[in-house]
Amino acid sequence: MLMHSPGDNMGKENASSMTIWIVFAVMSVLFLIVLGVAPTKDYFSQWRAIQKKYNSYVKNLPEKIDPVHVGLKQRWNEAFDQINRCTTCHIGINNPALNKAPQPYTTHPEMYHDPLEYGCFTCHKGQGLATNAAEAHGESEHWDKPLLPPEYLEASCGKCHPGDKVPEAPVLSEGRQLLSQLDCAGCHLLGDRKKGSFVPALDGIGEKTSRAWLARWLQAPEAVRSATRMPDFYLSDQEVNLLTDFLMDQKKLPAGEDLHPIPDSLATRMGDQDFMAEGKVLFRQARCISCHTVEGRGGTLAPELGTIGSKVDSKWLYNFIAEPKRLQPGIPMPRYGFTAVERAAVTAYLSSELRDWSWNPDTTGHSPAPDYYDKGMELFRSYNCGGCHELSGIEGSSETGPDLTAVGDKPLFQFDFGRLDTLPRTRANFLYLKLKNPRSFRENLRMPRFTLSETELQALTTALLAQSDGSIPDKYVAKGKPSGRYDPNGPFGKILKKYSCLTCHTINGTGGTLAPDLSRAGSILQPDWVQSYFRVPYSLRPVLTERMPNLFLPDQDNEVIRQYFDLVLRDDAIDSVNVDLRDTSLVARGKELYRENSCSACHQINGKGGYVGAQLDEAGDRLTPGWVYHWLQNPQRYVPATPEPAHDLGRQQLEALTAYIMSLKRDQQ
Amino acid sequence: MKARIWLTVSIFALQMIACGKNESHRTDEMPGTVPSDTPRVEETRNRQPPTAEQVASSPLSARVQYTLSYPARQGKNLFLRYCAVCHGTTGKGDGFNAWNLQPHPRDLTDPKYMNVLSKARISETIREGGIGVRKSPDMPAWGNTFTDRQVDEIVRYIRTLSGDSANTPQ
Repeated sequence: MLMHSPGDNMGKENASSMTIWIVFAVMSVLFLIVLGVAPTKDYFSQWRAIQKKYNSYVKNLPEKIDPVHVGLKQRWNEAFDQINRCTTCHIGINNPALNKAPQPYTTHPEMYHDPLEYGCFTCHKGQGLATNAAEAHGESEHWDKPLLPPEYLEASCGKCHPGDKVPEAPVLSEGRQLLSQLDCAGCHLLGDRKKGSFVPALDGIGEKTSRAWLARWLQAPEAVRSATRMPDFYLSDQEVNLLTDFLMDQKKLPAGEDLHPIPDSLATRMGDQDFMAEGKVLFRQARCISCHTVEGRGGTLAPELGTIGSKVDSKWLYNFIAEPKRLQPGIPMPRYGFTAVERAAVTAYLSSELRDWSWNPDTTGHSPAPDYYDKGMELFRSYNCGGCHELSGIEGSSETGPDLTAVGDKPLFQFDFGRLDTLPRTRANFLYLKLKNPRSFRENLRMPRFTLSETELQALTTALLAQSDGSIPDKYVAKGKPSGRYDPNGPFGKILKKYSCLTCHTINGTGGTLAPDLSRAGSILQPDWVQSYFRVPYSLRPVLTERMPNLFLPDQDNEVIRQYFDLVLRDDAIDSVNVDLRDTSLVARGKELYRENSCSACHQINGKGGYVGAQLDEAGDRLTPGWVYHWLQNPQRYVPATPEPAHDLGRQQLEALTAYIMSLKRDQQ
Repeated sequence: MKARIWLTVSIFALQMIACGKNESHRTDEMPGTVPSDTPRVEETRNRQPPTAEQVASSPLSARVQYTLSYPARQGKNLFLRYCAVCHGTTGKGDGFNAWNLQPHPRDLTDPKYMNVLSKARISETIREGGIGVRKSPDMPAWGNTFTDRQVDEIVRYIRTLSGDSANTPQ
């Protein structure tokens, strides 16, 4: 190797060093170009242009607003451990002077929380570290938490705020109430959410309805009753037949009991026109349409009754009116104080007059398939009917829907878009579509279709997006008030159950919101008025549809209510007020104040005035002076969302108004 | 500049996608009502779940286009709760209680009257009531009921009733 001639070597070395030199030169130039491109690329970046435009924008504004120092801005949010660079472009979010500025410079809408303290990502999601709009806002394949569309933003409120009522988030609240109303927890795990609302038990359904009606119902529930919550399972005709035959075999009532027969003396009168007319009068007097709808009129708390006669067997109906909770445990329907004759009359009216005259049931004989019971039960379990409907003796199904406890944070790749995988992959898209067309993603899905309006779809999607995996730091999670259920024992407790009072009224934090809170009823109302009211209840607010029904209350129940109100449902703070009601000059001053403050814009006395507030005729027979005084002092303390404005009344004015309102008595008119 | 064009185009495209469902359809529908396209009995016999093609070809999007900005939507909720009984759900002054009042409540959708009022004047009317601004005392004073922010939200909503476009989302 060392024997090569030097001349040879020289020539070769020259040639190879030349190549190296050329390579070196080219590489150097490329390196310099790259070195130059990097800062240039940064110099022409989108955010820099946005910041420069901002600076020239604020220069032209009449108010003096400091220009921004050009540079990438980022904020580390310690509590939620996130870094957001959003303020690089969204420069004015904390500057109220820029609330008319265009995006991205405009002020953040005023919020319940400081946006900078909570961090942008906490509510909006998106890619906080991105430095261009497409990546920060867009639906990126590789980013699992894309920006939440603004219309679903209330989902983020729900990550920290539990409970079905979040007053500042109406869409979320509606969605959460729908989760309960539609009994989503019947099939899906949803955290600690339990099956929400009353759904009829199927024990004894074979005695309740006819085969033809049940088959028609299973085929298309919303075609039979448009407002039903029962979803459509897309059952085939064969499935409808098997399931119907299986259900028609369920003849025993929930506790394994049988129906009582209608006494012969009454059964013979059921076809009598006068008897039916009597039933119709009772139906009106009891104000059944406070909750039920008939021919388009009435409340929406309970099922429509327009075609009840075609659906329900009269013997079942007679038993049901007598003891609703024996036939349907847990039903909100109160037990009316009807006598057997009155019950039969109402049954006669409902069975013969409220019928679906356009429906001709198929009366040709039907012979069930030989193995209908087993196959029907299999269907019952496979569609998890028992998730909502109780049926004793049938064990629950293990084949329920997916766990939705943390669906709002479920990784995107776990959503199976199936044959619709061309759609933008976002959680909102999947959930919305699943609710709208539950079986569109694949074949052989079992989720039924609920009849939902677009508003309801949006609300439910929002509520589901709010289902969190618990990654929010504990101290930011709002703690709901620990609510012990109010469930008294003794005679009053029995009355509450018998008449389902807490469906509409609330006592000590438990119950419905449709009717006044009764927690302080004993300090608000006079005992004698309570007693006379239950004899013939009337509405103090003439515009309401859902009015207090006439329960035909027996005297002993009325007495228990009067005493319980008077002794237990009291608020000592209200009771202690000292106004001289006999002072006529005080009454006159109160009357003057009533006129000056234009109370009559909302309240009626002697038929004059508005309908927004309660009628004040006979208020002196109904209310206690302590209540009038304290209510006027601060109505929102007792009913936070009351439409009565908070007045600014001094002690003397309050006393005068109290004296005047208490002077409004029946004997004086 | 290019990015801006893209942004504009994508926003436009998004709006196009969502055009199938406009806000009026969504907001005016009371919760619990059944959409008008509920199938009739005849159509529901032998129904099948929709096929992939049917789903993909129908105007489908989870997007909702709001015509009101966030504060104005909050204001609308307050308006419907507290004001609509007299001023009407659409602000025309035709609430159910309007006929008990003399003079009738103001038509808040009248641009000739409303658009010359300053924001401060409307806020003052809400806070001080009719008495405070020498109008009908039937309008109560709400200053002790609402926070300043709530008053501002209501004003923003009222502004949109008379065709003021400042509160539509950018």
